[in-house]
Amino acid sequence: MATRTSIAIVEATEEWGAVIAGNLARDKSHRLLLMSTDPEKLDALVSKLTRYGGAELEAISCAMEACWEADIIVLAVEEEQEEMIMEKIKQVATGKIVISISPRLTDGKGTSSHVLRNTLPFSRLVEIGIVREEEAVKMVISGEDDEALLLAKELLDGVEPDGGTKSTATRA
Amino acid sequence: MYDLLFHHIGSKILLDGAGKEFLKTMFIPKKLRKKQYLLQEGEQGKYMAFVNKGCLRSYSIDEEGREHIVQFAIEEWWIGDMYSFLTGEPSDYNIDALEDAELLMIDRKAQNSILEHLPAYEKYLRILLENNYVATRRRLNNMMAKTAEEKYLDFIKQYPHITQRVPQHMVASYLGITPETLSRARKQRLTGK
Repeated sequence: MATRTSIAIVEATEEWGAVIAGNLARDKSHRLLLMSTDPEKLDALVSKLTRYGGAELEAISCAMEACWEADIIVLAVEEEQEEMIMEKIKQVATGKIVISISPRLTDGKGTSSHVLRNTLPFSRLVEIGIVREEEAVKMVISGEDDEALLLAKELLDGVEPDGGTKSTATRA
Repeated sequence: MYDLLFHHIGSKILLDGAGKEFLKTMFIPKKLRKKQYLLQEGEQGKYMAFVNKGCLRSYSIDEEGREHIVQFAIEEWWIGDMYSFLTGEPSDYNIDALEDAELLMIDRKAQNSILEHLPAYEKYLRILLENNYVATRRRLNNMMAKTAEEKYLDFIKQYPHITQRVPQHMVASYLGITPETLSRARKQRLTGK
């Protein structure tokens, strides 16, 4: 029997946070720590995901507490909140896989890479850029840690918002 | 977050500011809730954990479902399956939290990195292993040669803080006696008979 992997989703009620949470909630091998500063939306999300009967779910209002308990951290944070959140969690993110989702990108390249790397230099970073090409949405996964890249790809397997995605793993 | 760890390491080797800053980048902070697993039987024990706060136990389960506790760990103790950590083989043990816990975990790669950058850390590990050998040898002798009451007296003398934090049936499991035998031993100690 395997120990459940604890995955913190920071701002789980934001668009991509909810999509990722929905994908991961079906898997019983996971324990999801769903963090949001909006308690009503968070309660609604937990209620919705509980119906899948898969992952163990926990609602947490503090990003640092969620990331401290987590083995893997998913950041689905708005651009203006990014640096603040990363400062909050950096001490407890050391050595952990941190997957940052950036929905505002149009060219697939990490515009927030320098912020991520500067603030979380000792985490195993994976960046997911959302590329919108005409009517298709593409996720581009990049990072330097092979194991983290592979894990991110596995976690995102099955994510298909807005008519379909293709994910590609690249090395930065 | 790192004060206890640095205190523990610093009590055995010289640890300067640069060394401390380097160590901070090597350990993974992890919180566990009561009853949560750190490791389950059959998994590879990828980490050794330094306990900052809380109480954990390491145990195996026999074919009849009985638990056999091999170790407790409280603040400033290390816990993990060293055999699995070193060999990469699946663990025979389970490790879970008896209280909400805060740990600093290290994997093999990080440990090797520390040994490369902080040669004195090897002395720290040597001292830990020596202490572990002495404790294991003492325990082996206790298991083979002592009465239930003697085992219990040794345990409470050596580990008074643990006695107060873990249930009696777990103490009994650790000592290799039944809870009933432990209860009798405790009574004998209290009444002096």
